[in-house]
Amino acid sequence: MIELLDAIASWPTFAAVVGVFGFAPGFVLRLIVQLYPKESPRRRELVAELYAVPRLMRPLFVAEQMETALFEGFSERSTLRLERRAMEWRRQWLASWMPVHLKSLGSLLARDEYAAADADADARVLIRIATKPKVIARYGRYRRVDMSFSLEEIRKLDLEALILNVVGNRTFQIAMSFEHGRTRCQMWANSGGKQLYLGIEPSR
Amino acid sequence: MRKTRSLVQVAAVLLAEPNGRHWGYDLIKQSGERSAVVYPMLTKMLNEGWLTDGWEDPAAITEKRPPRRYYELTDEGKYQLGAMLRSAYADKRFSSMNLGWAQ
Repeated sequence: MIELLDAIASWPTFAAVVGVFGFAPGFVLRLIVQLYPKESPRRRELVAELYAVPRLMRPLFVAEQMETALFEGFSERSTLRLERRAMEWRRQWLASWMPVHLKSLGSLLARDEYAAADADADARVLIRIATKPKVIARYGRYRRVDMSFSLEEIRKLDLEALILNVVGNRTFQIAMSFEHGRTRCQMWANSGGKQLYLGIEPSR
Repeated sequence: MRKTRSLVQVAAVLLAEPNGRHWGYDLIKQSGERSAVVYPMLTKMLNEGWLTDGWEDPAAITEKRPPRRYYELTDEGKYQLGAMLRSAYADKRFSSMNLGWAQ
């Protein structure tokens, strides 16, 4: 019995207890959360939650987080990679779409006598961008930004900056319209990339 | 979201205090579900707009620990989870579950 008590009270046992219940859980959990992408709030959350867990339960909690991180962390990483790829695709698509349509608008105004007559210095092009950061389209409201440009300004517009702002969102709609006097042109695109109104028709 | 036993259990815990702040570990403890089930479920609820999240104010923490992330039910979440609990109560599959106040 005394030998058993001696063994329990020995330095190696004390060091093991300090290691398992003191130092190791935090250290191992900080390693485990590396499975989540850098941007994931779960990294901070799990480490913070550890300190709400009773000390005796901490090794068990850390072991459980291995399972969580393996399932959730890896799937978040792959989702993020796919999302970045999709964003790049949308950026390229918009980068090709917007200048073509602005050019079409210019050529329409040059070609169409009614439109050309309307396209004086006061004519404005309205760009409306509606974005929604949430994944699920049913929920949340679109954040709408309306911008108005003169024909001169629209030629100098930094399209790349505009596009980068738009494609950071999961769902977006972008519409360009020109309305002046008897002429009305509208074109729009959305994040699906399939619904694309290509025609620019002046209405009189 | 698909109505599962785990979701119903977590919904019962969330709706026991519909206007309060909920913490990941407390939800795990009270619902009796594994953390590998509860945390992804919370992410889904956030994406659906049923929950909002935030971080504790570090100035308000008296103990020596980092700020924790909390979750709060939105009106949409209360409505959706409430409807789910009501239908679970009537569903034979969930009759053996302890839904607490929901019963």
